[in-house]
Amino acid sequence: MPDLTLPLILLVAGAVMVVGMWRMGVFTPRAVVAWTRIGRHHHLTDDRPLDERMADRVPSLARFFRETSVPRLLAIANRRESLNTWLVKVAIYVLLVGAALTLLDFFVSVSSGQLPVPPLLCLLLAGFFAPLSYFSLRREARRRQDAVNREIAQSLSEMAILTYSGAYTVSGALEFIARCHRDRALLDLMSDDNWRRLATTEDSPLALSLRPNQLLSTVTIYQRIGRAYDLEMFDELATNMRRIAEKGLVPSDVLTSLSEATGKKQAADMTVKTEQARPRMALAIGLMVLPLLSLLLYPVVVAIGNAFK
Amino acid sequence: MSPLLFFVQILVLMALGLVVLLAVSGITPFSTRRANELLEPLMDRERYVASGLGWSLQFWLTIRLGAFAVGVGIGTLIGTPVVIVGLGVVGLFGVPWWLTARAAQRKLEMDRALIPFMINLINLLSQGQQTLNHALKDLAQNPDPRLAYALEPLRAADSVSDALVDVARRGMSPMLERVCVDLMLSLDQTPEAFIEQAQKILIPQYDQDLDTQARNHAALAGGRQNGLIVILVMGVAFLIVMRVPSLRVAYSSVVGQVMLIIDGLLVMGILGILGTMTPKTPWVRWDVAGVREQMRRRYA
Repeated sequence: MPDLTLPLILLVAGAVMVVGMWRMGVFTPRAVVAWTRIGRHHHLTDDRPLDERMADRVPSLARFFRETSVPRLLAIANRRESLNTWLVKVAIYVLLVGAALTLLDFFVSVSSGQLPVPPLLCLLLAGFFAPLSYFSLRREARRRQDAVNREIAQSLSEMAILTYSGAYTVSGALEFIARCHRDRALLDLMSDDNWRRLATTEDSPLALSLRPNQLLSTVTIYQRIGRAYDLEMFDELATNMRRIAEKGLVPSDVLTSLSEATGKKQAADMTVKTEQARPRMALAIGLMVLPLLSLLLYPVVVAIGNAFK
Repeated sequence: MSPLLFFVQILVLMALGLVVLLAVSGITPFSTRRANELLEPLMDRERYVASGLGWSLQFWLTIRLGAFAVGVGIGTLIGTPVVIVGLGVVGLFGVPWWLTARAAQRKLEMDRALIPFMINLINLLSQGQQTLNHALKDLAQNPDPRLAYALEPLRAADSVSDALVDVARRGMSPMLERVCVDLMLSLDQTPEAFIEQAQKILIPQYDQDLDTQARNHAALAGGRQNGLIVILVMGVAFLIVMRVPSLRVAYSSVVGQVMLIIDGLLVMGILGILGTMTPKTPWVRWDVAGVREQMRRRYA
């Protein structure tokens, strides 16, 4: 069979070159290039990245991009690094694991005289560390969302006490209690304008969003934080604060009702989780068959082996 | 090309890549702060169990180490390495696992006593002769036995807010922490305002919290029961195998010992899976000293 390596390399290099030329505008007609230049100058062209433009046309794709976006997950997880730093870190971990596996392979090959697995396989195995890092980041982000939601949900009574005498507004009470928790997730989100990492821009299809330098009301900020960071308790707070402002309700009463409703929801969630856990636990107990069979059958296997000897 | 040279080339390339990447990203592989962050929840859990049993942390850690030593000692008397390791593991994890259930039960009992405590406080304040500070000190003189240990700092306290910080530290229960925070936030209010707040906001909230605590406890007890079933069945099977000489002889070899270790690891894995599957509602932990500081800063 002829060696296909060289043609394949040439094919890939050619494809890369063609894509590069296309991106550089070599195949674009001069008139279009000229119009794009004028359009960009007058802000008439859409300069957003490709994924954002595609997401505009396909909503499901938009959701997918949003859910899987690493910069968004980094912001939710309150990690300071940028996308590039995260990628470099993942590359370091992959290389470390790859080096360790290859070294192990090397030592085994030196002692046994033959290669146990090809080095390429070690590198491929190490490559699995990249998706693992991504899933770990997702988990961290999810944990932080839960922590912030929990901190607000379980502090509504205290916010009600603070607002009872009128000495604190709802937002003032939230800032107060954020400083009183051992877990600093809520405080980290609210302090130093950290919330601006995601919640500054509003994706409004009607272009009704506010100008970047325009002052925002607390309700709008909370609503944006709720949407951008997927924090339902911020959404709830914003809705209730709007009701307080529009209908003149007493903040402590509204917060007490919200606390009661949240508590009931928590109890209902717990009941659902308990019911769901039952069959899973039965399955886990069923796994006991494995050590049990191993314990009882091992002597039988040894006895049969001895009999055949 | 010889395979040795090939390996060396790959390793050198990887090492160079790593050095460049580490230099670019400025990663510090080990940091004390991160180690503390990882260790703190573990220590917090040990403190929680110790306070639930009414012991100090040192005493509790001594008990854990003692159980491990006793397990290893008995294992040494019996003989085989697997039994030594196995009994050591039982001493290190089994005894605390059994005692943790008792600690959780005692904590739940203490939390149950908090609602009558609050009702008594409201009753005292309703008489209209005491402030919240005095009523708290008064109640601490003759408390419910379940709360006696936690409320001790209130008995002879000069500053009630300082005493409440100590009460939360001694009690180490999320619900007690919450009660201390609520009391601290209410210290500067009139007794009438506190009574209204307590009746409208706090008592219903504590009822809800207690319900959640009870559900958590029931779920944990269920998980523990499942774990006990696994341990009992495996224990009985192990005894049966060890009492039949023809079966026992298979485990006297090195491979047999390894098989026993694998079985033990499988059982521990199943217990771990059961533990992770047990549903529980996590609690927010309050920094009660932080609340005191916030309150002081408010009037500074």
